[in-house]
This record gives sequence, C-alpha cells and structure tokens, in this order.
Amino acid sequence: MMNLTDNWNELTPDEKFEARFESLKAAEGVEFVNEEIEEKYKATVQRLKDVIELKQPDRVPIAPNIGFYPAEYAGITAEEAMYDYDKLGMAWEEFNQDFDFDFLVSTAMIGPGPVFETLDYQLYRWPGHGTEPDTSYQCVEDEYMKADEYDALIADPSGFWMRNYLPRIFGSLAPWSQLGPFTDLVELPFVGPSMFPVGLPDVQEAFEKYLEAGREALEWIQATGEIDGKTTATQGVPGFLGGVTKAPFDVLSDTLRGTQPLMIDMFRRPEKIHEAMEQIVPIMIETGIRGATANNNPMVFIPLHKGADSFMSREQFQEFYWPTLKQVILGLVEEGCVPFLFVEGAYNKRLDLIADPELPEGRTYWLFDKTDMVEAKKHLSGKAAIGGNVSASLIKTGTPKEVKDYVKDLMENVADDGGFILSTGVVVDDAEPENLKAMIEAAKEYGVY
Amino acid sequence: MSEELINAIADLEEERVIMLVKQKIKNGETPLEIIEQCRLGVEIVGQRYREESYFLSDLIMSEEILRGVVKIIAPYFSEKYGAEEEVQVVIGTIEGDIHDLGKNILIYLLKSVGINVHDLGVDVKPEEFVKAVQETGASILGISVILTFCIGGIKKVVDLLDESGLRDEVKVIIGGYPVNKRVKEYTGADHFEDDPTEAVELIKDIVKNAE
Repeated sequence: MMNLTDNWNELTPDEKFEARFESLKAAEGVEFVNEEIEEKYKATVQRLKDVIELKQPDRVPIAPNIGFYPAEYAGITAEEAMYDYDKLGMAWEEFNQDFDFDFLVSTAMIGPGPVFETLDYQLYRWPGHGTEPDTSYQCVEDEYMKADEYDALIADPSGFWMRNYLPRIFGSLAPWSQLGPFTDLVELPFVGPSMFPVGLPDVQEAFEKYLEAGREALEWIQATGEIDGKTTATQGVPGFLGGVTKAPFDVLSDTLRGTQPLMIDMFRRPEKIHEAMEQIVPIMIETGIRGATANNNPMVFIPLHKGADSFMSREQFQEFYWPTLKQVILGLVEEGCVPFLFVEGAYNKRLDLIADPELPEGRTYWLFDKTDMVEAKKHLSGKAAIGGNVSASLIKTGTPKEVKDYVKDLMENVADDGGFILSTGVVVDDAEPENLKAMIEAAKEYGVY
Repeated sequence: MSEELINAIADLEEERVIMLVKQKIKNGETPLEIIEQCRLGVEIVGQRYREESYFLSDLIMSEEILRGVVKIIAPYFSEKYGAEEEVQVVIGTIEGDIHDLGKNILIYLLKSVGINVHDLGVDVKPEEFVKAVQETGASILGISVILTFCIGGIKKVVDLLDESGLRDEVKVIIGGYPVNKRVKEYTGADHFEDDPTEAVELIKDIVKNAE
C-alpha cells in the first residue's frame, strides 16, 4: 500500500492522524488563487480537526450531504450530470460558488454513466437507465449471493467477487463465471489449463468491455478531479471525504444476500454470517485507508444501513452488527484515519452501545439523521464528534425561518461546547435554495464560539 | 385450540412450527384450522412489533416460516384459500421509487389484524393505482414514497381519482420517510403517516367507520 511518509510504519496512530491532517492542510499541488483563499482553506481544515478532536473550533463547520441537487439548481438533468462532464463541471462550480459551505461539494459521488453502461450494471437503476432523467440512482436489491455460497465467499472473497458476484451484477462480465481462480497458477503444469478460459470468445469480449470501462472511468476521474480541484483552488474549500468503506454486515446485506435473505440467515445460519464478516473486516479496512491516502484526506465515509433501530433488535445489533463494524473503526483509527459514520434512520436505542469505551476518544465523527441529537450528545460527549440533522423535508418544504430556528436550536442545545458539525440528515437531491442558504446563515450567526 | 403452534409461530421457532404442522396434518386437522392457528401466531408477531419488542428482522423471519407452512399444506387444499375475500386496501410505491421495506411492513401488520391488502408492488404508475381501486372497490388507497422528487406522482393519482369520479369512494393515505402535513396538502391526500404502527390504527378506524 502507498504511504504518506517514508517512516510510516514507525509512526503511532496519533502521529499518523497528525500526519494525515498536516498533509491535507498542506494541499500540495493545489494552486490557490490568492493567499486569502489559501488561508481560508487552512482555517477550515483546522476547524474540522478541532471538531474531530473535541476541541472548540472558531465556529461550527457547515458540511451538508449534497447529492444531485446541484444539477437541478443549475438547470441540468441528473442524467446529464452522469454523462456530460462539461455540464457536470458547470453545475457543480455554480453550486459551490453560490452556496458558501465550508467544504467542497464534490462531483465524485455522482458517478460515471458511460462506465455503468459499458459494464451493463444491473445493481442500480440510474437516470435515463431505469429512473427518470432528472432523478437520482436507486439500488436494486436481490439475492446476488445464494444461501449455499457462504463457504465459497469465506474461502476466497476476491475469487468469489470475480467469478460469482461480478458476473451477476455486471451483464458485460457474465462470461467471467467461466474463469478459474488466480490461485490456480502455482506451477508450470497448471498454467495452460488455467489460462485457456481467458481465450474463449465471450470471455475475451468481456475483457474488452472491462478495458473500455476502465478507459471511460479514467476519463471521468480526470474530469471530476479537474472540476473539484478548480473549486478547491478558487473557493478555498477542502474536500470532506477521503475514502469510503462499509460495515461488514451491510456488505452482506445491501448487495450480496439482500436485506430479507440476510435477516433470515440471522435465524438459520448465524455462524456463517459471522465467519463471512470476519473475512470482510480486513478488506473493508484496507479499502477505507487506501481511499484516504489516495485522496489525501483522513475522513473515511461509512454509510450505515441495516443496523438501525427498526431493522433489528438491540441484541441482534450487539451480536451481528457492532462487533465487526467496531473492528473496521479501530482498523481505520490505527492508520490515522477518521471514520465518518453516517447513521441513516435512527440509533436512539444504540447510543450507549456506540459510546463504546474501547473506541479512542476524538477520532470518529457520527452523522445522524432521525436520532435524537440531544441524547446523541449526552452519550457521545467527550468521546466522538457528532453532526446532523436538518431534515430533507425541512429543506424541501420548510421556510427559511423554520430552517433557521431548527439550526439555532441545534447550536444552543447540541453544539454549545464544540465537537459538532452542522449537516443535513440525508443526502440532498431536492431542495429549496433559500432554505439551504438559511442553513448557512444560521450557522454563521449562531454557531460562532 | 392448541396453543402450541400459535406460540411456536409467535416465537419464530421454525423447526418446531414445521414439525407441528406435519403432525397436525397427520392427525387429520384441516388446512383451514392450521392456517387459523398460524394467523393467530402472526397476530402476536404483529403485536410484538407494535410494542417494539420485535423488529423488521422478526417480521421477515415469520413470513419465511409461513412460506414453509404453506408449502406443506398446499397439496391438502381443495380450493385456493382467501381468493374470494374482499380487498379493503390497495397499496403500492409510487412511480419512480423502488423502495418497498416500509410498504411491506405495513402490509404485514395489516394482514396480521385481518385486513385484506392488494399489493401493487413498487414503481407503480398513477394510472395503475386508479385502475386497481376501480377493479377491487377498495375503500383505502395507500401510497408509499421515499424519494422527495417522486411526490408529484401522488398528486397525479389524486387528480386521476377526481377525474374518474372515484375520489369520494376512497381514502388516500400517503406514507414514507418524507411525508408530512405539507406533503399531504400538496398532493391532496386525505391522511399521512410515517409510522406503520400508527398507520394500522388509522386504517382500522377507517375500515370500522366504513362498515
């Protein structure tokens, strides 16, 4: 794995944390338009670091979760944002300029339509391909891994991904199910028999699609890198995300087994779930760290789904969800990263459990949606930074005054001694612009320490 | 009536349920008697969910157990059970939206209290909602929505009900993450509810008043 410094392996977790924030602040390669913008950028990084370390910053940071809304705001469709990177750039640049959030509203989460199309992606419907041109993408849950395939997954996760899972979620890679595992290639007599499936015409075609998708993804990452880089340099807004990873239970539930089958597995084959999750833990840690290092940002986003209050009992959360999520959190912190846990739905019955004394203080950020913020603060105060939770309904159907009142209330009752980030409870795909502006104004008015 | 099967269903003891059902068939109990015991068990599951001692995972597991029961007793049925019963509620997720967990919880809870539901599934066009109301004569239409930008579709359903003269025949209830009073007013729905347990009470009241 790529490292930030030559002596990386000799550093303590705290030193790695410092090094990652130093590196984010240094913003090597970014040519800021002037000194004032550069100062603004550095002050914002410091503001974030203060909050994560549970110190009082100069002011509450404003970092909402923005999805497709900039497209609507700028008058382009979601489909155009996924296919036409010039329009994507124009729209996101305009949005970042008009809304003075502290952090970059990045183009990265929008995703490259051409890549999905080339791969014939089955796991999602996206604008113009199953959803309306002006609506966001949606996941299509299914049993992409069967109940009797746990052992195959556990024995060789990468092999299972390549030869079982990917052929099911990408139509263009279906022929990969004929490939042998790379681990066949151990000695001379193995090489020929193991290689020949690669020569089959449909497998060759699948690899051609794979290469084509790679070229399209490169084009996309160059375009979005340029757009986001320009915004950072002109607006002085640091990125809010480095890596992305997931809770091992959600890896199984969201896209392998599906919600319903996995919940049945909790009753029928609990030991298989545990074995599979243990295998997935190091994979999820490595994914998160690699993203944080590559994007030079310690924040590792972990959207949390199936452990919410209404999905499973507290006992099931303690048995199935939390232990491996905790391992992922600890693994990330060990490498100086900041797990950014996004609690979708509510965790009102989990707050005492996530306030786990074995997690280091001042190294994580929990973003809440429908969780009671005052209770969240009570449990996590002195342990973890928290953020939230202006609702999507308020942003879409409320008035600026209602938004301001809500933010003021958060500032007075939750943010009062630091360790707080102002955000939206969900990803914003649809909004009234004056409500988003009211959110920013209120934070600057009531959120100064 | 034997409490054993009822309790085994309520406690989600899959192997025990299957064993008991096989035993009952052997002892000559009719499929309808067995179904009735299952229904009573499901009623307890629904009750426990509403009391927050059961969760989505428990509802899903109990459905799975019932599927197993139906598989065993299906060959003993002379005619399809429940086919002729009157549909009271038509339900579906609005066009453009493929989320179905909330909708499925509500359907489960409604069935557990003996209310008949016709499920249209997800991504349902406004015209299909209206057609289903017309064909079933249901007095309640439930529309589920998660994505804020799909809310406009609900307004279209209500407008279409108006145009086809069905508006007064049916109460429209909207449910899901983003619904509130404002969304209710915007769409022209009669009621809104974002908590499935509360929605069951609301629907029970409407059904009772309609009788």
